[in-house]
Amino acid sequence: MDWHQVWELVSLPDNVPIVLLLLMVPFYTWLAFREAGRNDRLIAALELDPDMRKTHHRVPYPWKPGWPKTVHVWPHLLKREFLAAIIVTTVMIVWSIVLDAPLEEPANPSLTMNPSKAPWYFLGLQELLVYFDPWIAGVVLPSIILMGLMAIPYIDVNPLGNGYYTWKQRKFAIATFLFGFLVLWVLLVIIGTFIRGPGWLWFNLGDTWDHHRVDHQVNYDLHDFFGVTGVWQVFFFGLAFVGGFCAIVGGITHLWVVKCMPLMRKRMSLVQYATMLQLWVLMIFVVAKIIARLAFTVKNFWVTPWFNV
Amino acid sequence: MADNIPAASSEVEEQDPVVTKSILWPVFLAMIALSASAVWSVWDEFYTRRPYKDYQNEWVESAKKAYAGKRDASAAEWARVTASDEYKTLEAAMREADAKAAPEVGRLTTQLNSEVLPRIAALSLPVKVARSEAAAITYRLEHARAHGHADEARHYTAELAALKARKSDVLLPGASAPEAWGFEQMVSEFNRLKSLQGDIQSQTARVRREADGARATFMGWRDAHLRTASPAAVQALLDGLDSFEHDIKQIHIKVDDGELIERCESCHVGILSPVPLEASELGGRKVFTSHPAKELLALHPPEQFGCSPCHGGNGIATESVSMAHGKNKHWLWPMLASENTEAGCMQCHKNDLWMEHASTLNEGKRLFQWRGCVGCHRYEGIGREVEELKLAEKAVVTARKDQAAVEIAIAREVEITEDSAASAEAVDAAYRAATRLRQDLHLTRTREQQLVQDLASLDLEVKKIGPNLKEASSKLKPEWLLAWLKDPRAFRPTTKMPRFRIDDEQVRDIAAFLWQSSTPKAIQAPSVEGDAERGQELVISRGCLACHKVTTDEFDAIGNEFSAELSRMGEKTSAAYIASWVKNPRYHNRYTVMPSLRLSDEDCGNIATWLASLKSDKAVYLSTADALALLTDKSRLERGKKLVEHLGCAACHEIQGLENEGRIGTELSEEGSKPIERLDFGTRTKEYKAEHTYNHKGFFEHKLESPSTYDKDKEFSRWVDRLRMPEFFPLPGQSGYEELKGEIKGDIDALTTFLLGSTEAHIPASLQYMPEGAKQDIQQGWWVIKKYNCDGCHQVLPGATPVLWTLPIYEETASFTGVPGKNGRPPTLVGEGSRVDPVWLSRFLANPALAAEGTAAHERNGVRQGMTVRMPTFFLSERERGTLVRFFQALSDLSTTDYVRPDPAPLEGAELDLARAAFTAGDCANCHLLGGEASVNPDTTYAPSFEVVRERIRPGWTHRWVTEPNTVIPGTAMPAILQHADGANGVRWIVNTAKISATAKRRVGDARLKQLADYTGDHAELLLRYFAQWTAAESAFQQDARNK
Amino acid sequence: MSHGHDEAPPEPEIPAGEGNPGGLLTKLRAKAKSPAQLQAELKKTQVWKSIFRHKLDDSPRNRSLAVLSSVFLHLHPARINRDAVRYSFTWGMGGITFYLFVLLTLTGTLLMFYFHPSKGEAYRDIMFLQHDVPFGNLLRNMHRWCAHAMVITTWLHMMRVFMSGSYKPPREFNWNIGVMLLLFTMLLSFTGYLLPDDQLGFWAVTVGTNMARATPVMGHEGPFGPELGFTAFNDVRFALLGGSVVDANALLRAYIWHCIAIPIIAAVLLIVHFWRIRKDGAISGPAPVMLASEITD
Repeated sequence: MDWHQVWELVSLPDNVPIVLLLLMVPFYTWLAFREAGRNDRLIAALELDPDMRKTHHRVPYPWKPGWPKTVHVWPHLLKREFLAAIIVTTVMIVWSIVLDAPLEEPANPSLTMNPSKAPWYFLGLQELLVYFDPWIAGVVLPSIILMGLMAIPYIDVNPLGNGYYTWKQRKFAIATFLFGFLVLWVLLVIIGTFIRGPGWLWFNLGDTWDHHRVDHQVNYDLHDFFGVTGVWQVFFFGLAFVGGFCAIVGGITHLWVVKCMPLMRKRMSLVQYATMLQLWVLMIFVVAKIIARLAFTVKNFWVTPWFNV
Repeated sequence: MADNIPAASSEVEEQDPVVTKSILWPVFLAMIALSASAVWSVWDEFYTRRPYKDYQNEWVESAKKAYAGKRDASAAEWARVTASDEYKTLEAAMREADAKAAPEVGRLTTQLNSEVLPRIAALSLPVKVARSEAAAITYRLEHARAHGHADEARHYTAELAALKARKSDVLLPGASAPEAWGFEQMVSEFNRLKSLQGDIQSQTARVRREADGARATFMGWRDAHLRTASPAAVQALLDGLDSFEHDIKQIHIKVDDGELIERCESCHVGILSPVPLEASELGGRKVFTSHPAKELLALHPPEQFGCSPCHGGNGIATESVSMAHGKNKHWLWPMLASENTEAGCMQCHKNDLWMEHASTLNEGKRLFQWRGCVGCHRYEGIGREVEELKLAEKAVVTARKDQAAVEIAIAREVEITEDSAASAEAVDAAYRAATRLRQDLHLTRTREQQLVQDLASLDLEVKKIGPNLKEASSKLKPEWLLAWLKDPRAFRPTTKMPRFRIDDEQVRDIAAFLWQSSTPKAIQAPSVEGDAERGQELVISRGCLACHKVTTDEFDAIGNEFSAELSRMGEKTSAAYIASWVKNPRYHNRYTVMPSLRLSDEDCGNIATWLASLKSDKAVYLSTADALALLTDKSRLERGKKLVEHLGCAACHEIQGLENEGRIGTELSEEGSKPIERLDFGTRTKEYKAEHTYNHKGFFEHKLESPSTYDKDKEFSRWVDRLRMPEFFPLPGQSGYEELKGEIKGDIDALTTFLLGSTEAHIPASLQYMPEGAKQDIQQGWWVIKKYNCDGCHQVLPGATPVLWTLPIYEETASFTGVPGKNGRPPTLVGEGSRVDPVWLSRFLANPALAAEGTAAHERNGVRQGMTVRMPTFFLSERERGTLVRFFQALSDLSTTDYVRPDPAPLEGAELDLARAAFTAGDCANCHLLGGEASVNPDTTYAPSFEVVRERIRPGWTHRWVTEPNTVIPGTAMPAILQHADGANGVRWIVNTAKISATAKRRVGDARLKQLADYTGDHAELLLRYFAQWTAAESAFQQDARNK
Repeated sequence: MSHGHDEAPPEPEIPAGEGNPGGLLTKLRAKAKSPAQLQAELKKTQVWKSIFRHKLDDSPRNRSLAVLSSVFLHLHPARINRDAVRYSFTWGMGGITFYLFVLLTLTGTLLMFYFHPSKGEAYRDIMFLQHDVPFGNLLRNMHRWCAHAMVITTWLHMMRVFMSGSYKPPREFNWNIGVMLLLFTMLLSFTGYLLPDDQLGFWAVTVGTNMARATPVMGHEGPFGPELGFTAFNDVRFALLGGSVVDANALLRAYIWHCIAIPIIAAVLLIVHFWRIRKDGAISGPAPVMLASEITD
């Protein structure tokens, strides 16, 4: 265990926000689930007790008849906002006193930094570069992420869970989102920051970042495993594989939805359902590619003269 | 139902928490925290990030004590000086002169203050107003004229006239009422007063001239005798500390191509103290000491050059010591360690081989060449002859191609002119074209000629530091070669040859290749059997020891390390080879710097006999037959060649088949600024980071100390993948370590300093040193001086001691056959530029014997024929000779281009007789040869021969030499026979009859001496003119005079 | 022309000192009003009324007016859901993000006074900020750390909104504004990265913009890019950097995107974002839970 290396990584000024992220994300995940749990218990109670439904104010916070349903923003909200502003200001001042913003050598195009890293919030995408061609990792996936985020309100047709935390009423939506956010975004950022060292090689936390380290891993395109040769043969093989993969994953998902979440399927229009399925399949595809690379040394599923997938 | 779900009916709380809950405490605490952080930020800004404030407080305290001590010391010194008679005399003289000038000065001052200045003051405002008004009207007038407004112009002309006619009120001093003055009157009076003011001021200066002179003399004397600042000055420094401003002390240098901001003084407050301060006086605080190298600081004023260009570090930073010293991670130019400080000089003085005040760096540069580093590592500006030679060769080829092309073109045009079918115009055009082409051809040929000449020069300039291995088999003993390659330092601890990490088999392969690839070279041994005793004497006295070291019967390892040590020579080679080598080194190795000593065949034999007899009785070798069997093993040839190529032997040696090998090492010209990531620390990165040697300095030091260090723990599939740099310094336990361990650290420091300084310049170009003219000549000259080890025999700078001078045989009272003690040393070259004629010097450098090859005279010295040590014949190129001549001229502040030999008036009749008499009287021939002698007396005649005086000497120098020889060359044997006398035309020199020996007087005769004494001219001048027309006849005349 | 004051009657002499019953001081004292009176009168003045549109007494009406009549506060409704003030519901992330945006604007504006967006000068200016400008270090540190913090709070805000289902009708559009703000927050940070012109920023931006080479169709290394005639000198990356490498032009472009273009876009989106919150019925919850059994499709 190279504690010096660990300290160097963690104390690097620009890595401090990621340490912060590492603490804040689990905390707020926990907080959300705590609130969801309270609501879920309330929901369960209400489902069991029809009488209670008529009298209960349906919020898991204390309430008594006679207490106002709404409160004045001035001062009840504003004083809290004021407090938050003071705390944030204090934190920022102290952070700025204690830690200096980094300034490295003057820009030198002839001296490549090793590792060359994008700003930390893009490191998830940079990590994806390991698994995908740049046009997918750098352009297509970010665009799809943005479009997918924008599509969420329009494909989430669940009328429940509007304006309150719940897990049991929105299991599928929350699980999918958290998987995307926590695993495919935050985790990849953390891997890109703390785990990827010189040459973008994998260094477990505590390994010394050795610039001379040499790794051996030969990755093969999928068609190599099956002995397919020839440009067009390879093209159609890849096309068939990717198409087949999507079809199978989509099909399984469809069966699952129909069997386990019939109501969701029923509420969705075909366009909504198709969009949802597409995004879902794509997410599974990204995960599948990562697993295929890490576990089975697969370089590309689909190789064409113009692009690789 | 879970507990935490409040039922609507249950009485959980009476009060509505959302409305009633106070957050006053959290707000209060947050406010406290915010205020505290605000205060902290101010503290951080004004205290934590300004550590210099503490330093400055401390400085005031330490400096008060230190300056108080200095003041007391200075007061004592001052008292001593002021008490001296001379001080008093000078002070009195100054006061007397002051007093003498006082009345007149007083009168002038009164006149100025009472009559002139008040009137000027009274007039200046009305004059200024009137002039400005006139200027405004004039402008409008000109404007009107230019635009053709005649009416307006007339108007303004009238207005101008009115202004000039107008009277202004002028209240003159002393007057009770203002007077009305016209414009012209005011202006002319004003101008008169101004010029009067100037007159009075210059008159005052004239009157005070003597007094000012006396004051300057007094002050000059006082300053020269006071080694410390005056007590008053120190007191002023002390008083200044009371009002010391606690602030950033900054030097801001702005030049066209950049700027420098240096705040080092903020902490190093005492660094520019006019009174030197040492740490011991400051309570041990090194931070406050004054700059230790005052002379350097005077040459490089900080207000002009700053601090960080020389020392590194970050001049702007003040927030912490490590930031200011540039020791933070991302600063590219960290402050240099004290043992490498001189690396900073390289920022500007990259091309200076030798610098005063930079002994470590000088040594580093010398080692870089001398140890042959430049053979493997390209370095901009060092060893460039090889590259220039290649370029010139290419250029010659191109020039010849061009010529051929032009010749063909001419032939084509000529064909047209001879073509009867061609039109008249075409013939005419072809004729003109041919003419132009012929002129082109002429120019191309000239260029080619010049290139060929350059090539010849370069051919002489290219040197290799090791011997020529093409003649290994005719030179070396087989068994010795094997032992040598195995471990050179075991045979000769002082050798330049590094130790290679090769095993016995590889040694044999290399030796076999060298042996078999070499071509037999005929030994030109004139005579081998000789007198070893005489040989030893020659080696000691002829000057061999200026370059070589040897152990003689009397002395253990005396001489210089410039070239190989000669002890144990007999184990290495044969007497025949040595004889042939010393006869003509260039025959055996065209890349050697070794000159010809113009030895007779017999002496070559003597020297060879002695050197070949030098053997260690402890040495153990294979038998010659066994060794020869290994060396002639054909199967080793290929492997050996590969090894020799791989190890870069051709960097230092001439080797058959490897004449055009390139340099095998990394270029080092800018190694000091190579990004640290590009220095390959191998697997030792972590270790050296922990040791804090993961930096350039650490890299160089580790690498030099043990070049294989970065191979540690590495796995190699092939032997050739290993680092191949050989070991230049013995490691503990290796042979030679015991002998050399004292020098290793110093040499590594010197080389590290040199490499650390080898960076891209990071200071504005306008601040860099770009010498021109004389300074550049000096810069270039040192390369030749050091290349040929001229300063091994000659003193080049005042105070320097050449190695040869330190030999015991040149001690004041030394007795060694043929060497007359101190006066037998090679002459000093201090002032050589002012002494000799540049044209002659160039000729002399080409042929120091000053005699034709093959003549008996050629084997002698040309100038100082009586000396045993002799100026050898170097194979200098024309270029190098020119460089040397310019170097000596420049050292004497002279220029070569404007030198024309003066042509003094010829001596005739009586004057000639007097000059001859003065010469005879001075007994010059006692030490100087007159020329044409059949043999010389080595015991006395070591001075230059008069044969060469006419062409050799610059008359101006000779005048100083014959009058005051001791100031020209302190301690010279040349007597001062002339004395100072007052003459009709001022100062003159006459022969001092008291110093003339009785013999000389007799030779001259009383009558002539009388005439000489009566001669009203300058005797020195007479001698000079005499020398200027020295001929063989004069030699004969003086020889006759001597024989009387 | 004669001036009026020549004819003016002499001013009455007022003997100074105490005990003089007719003294100015005494007269003034007699006329003096109590602080309460003064305050009351002050509040009647036109100036006061022009600034403060309502009384300050602690009444429900004034509490509402305090919010409604202030340009800064009226983004809030006068009253909100009683439990929406709880930290555990909102996490305060949206507000903190906006507050950080304000802090960044302030510190950024100050930094602009010391910064030249040109090669050589840019790095030197950062050095000067570090070593010369009073509080320059603090300023730069604040700007950088606020920027990093803002990226994090934006993410967490998004997570909160998702977890509490706050994007559901009628807030679908505002979620989309939020997604765009998320993107622009990261772009703001990214463009600022290059400005010190040091190795860190240079290589981060090089790596970041190198991805643009691979843009399908529009990048010279992307699918079908070369086929459509895109080279390193005319593709989308060239447009981003103003050149084929990260150099002076890229620095200037980053500067203008960072200081002018993106802040304006972000500010506009922020206005829409806040306006929408109000229009969509203020903050989404904590809403009363709904039961699956109560839903009828």
